[in-house]
Amino acid sequence: MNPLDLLPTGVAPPASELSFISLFWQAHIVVKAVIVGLFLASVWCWAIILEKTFSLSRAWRRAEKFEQQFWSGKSLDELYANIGHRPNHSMAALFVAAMREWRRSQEGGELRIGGLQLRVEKVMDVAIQKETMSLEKRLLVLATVGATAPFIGLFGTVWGIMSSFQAIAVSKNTNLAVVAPGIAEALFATALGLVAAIPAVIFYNKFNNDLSRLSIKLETFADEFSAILSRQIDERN
Amino acid sequence: MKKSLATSFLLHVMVLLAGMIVLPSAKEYTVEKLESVPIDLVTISEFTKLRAQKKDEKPEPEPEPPKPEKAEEKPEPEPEARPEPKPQPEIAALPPEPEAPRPPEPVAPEQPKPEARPEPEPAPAAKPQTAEKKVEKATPAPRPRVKPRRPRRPPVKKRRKFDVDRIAALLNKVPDANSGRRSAGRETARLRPGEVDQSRGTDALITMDERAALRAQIERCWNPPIGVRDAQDLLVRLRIRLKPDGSLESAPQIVNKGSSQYFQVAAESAMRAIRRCQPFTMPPEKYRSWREIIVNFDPREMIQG
Repeated sequence: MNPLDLLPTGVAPPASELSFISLFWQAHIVVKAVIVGLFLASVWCWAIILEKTFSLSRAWRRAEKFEQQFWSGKSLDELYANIGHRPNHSMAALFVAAMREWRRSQEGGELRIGGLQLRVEKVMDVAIQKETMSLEKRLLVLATVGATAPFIGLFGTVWGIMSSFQAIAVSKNTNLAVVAPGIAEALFATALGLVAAIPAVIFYNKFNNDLSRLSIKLETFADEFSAILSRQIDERN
Repeated sequence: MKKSLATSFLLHVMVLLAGMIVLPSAKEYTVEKLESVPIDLVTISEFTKLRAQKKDEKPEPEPEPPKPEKAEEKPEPEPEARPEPKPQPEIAALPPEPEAPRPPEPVAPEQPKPEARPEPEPAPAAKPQTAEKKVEKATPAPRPRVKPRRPRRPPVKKRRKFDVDRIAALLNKVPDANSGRRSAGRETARLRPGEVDQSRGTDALITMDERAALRAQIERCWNPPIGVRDAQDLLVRLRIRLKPDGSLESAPQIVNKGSSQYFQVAAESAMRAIRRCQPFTMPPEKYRSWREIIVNFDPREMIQG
């Protein structure tokens, strides 16, 4: 016997379409909100991922290039003139901050050496912090999405299953046709949550690692540069 | 940031579109059409019926000589039995079997019968008669009980002795069915109290429960003849026809003959019981199967309990 024959006439046969779109439109409003939210989160995550990938790799490349120039034997004043007042990457920003402080202490013809070393180091520390902060910007979003998206999806799933059980209770029919759509849309929410969360977590870890490497590089450079400056100061004395 | 946001959004839309195109919709599962297997829920009573039927099948093929008396009776029930095969055998089982508790017990003080059976001491005049009867009639009355046991053993032995052909036939179980048909005529005669011919059974059959209920109804009204000797000769078979409401359609008929002098008394008491108890409460939807039934009144059952 065809199981469809057993369906009471009031119950529509299973929805002919079970595509993403039809699943979405059949879903309960809460599930819809969850799905939309997860979709937006995924878009935002990927925007951050793209942006961070480019900016971090760019920062790394430029830092390497700058280090080459720095150790190439050019005079620091020349380098400073080349870079100008608008450093376009973090290591240059570090260098410019230190050089500016150095220049400022020579203003007025007299060299104020007392505390110069300390001041330069402070300035470079501040520069490093600023740079890392700007590089870390929005990285927390990835962590948040990675941690919460599965739960949000799970919430949508639970809600969808709840409504499908309500459908069972209302129609007093345990036929799969009554249960299946609700469960399908519910599982769809979880799937979306995972789709959003997995890349977020992966790239968050990757960016974290990249950032720590970059900040170590900056600190090393800052130490080296302050060593050079302190040598200069001693020579002038 | 705007750039990457735009690209991200574009990428998502592309993935969605690709998903919609590549996975347009869920594929329908093509379920192989299996022939539906009808499943019947079997109640305990139906199950016992089935077992009772099996019991019947075995004794049938047995080579026992059907008793002359019963053979005579058979021709009558058979023609009737065909149109409605079930009712007769079933009913035969009803009254005699199990519970003989209430009415007979008062008899206990006298207890003439149990003594009479082993050794006819008490009644001198009766002795010769009973002795003769025992010799002669011992076969007919008691057999019904003994039969089931005896028949099973001998048939097995005989079959073993049979030729290879026979064995093959046994394995196929074809002979059982055939022999069952052949002996169909004998079946009714051989039915012991408590045994039911279910071989032609269908769903219209009265179940054990209903049979037991009917028997209880009848037993309530039956005062078996008390103090009668040779109770084994007093088996009374009544054919009764019932209306759909359970009342008697016509006066009950006595189906068998008894050689005992008290047979008439027993028959009267049985008829009285039937009349007094009507109408019987039976499932109306199975009226066909109990429109005409045969009831066995066996005082021994009642007395022995």
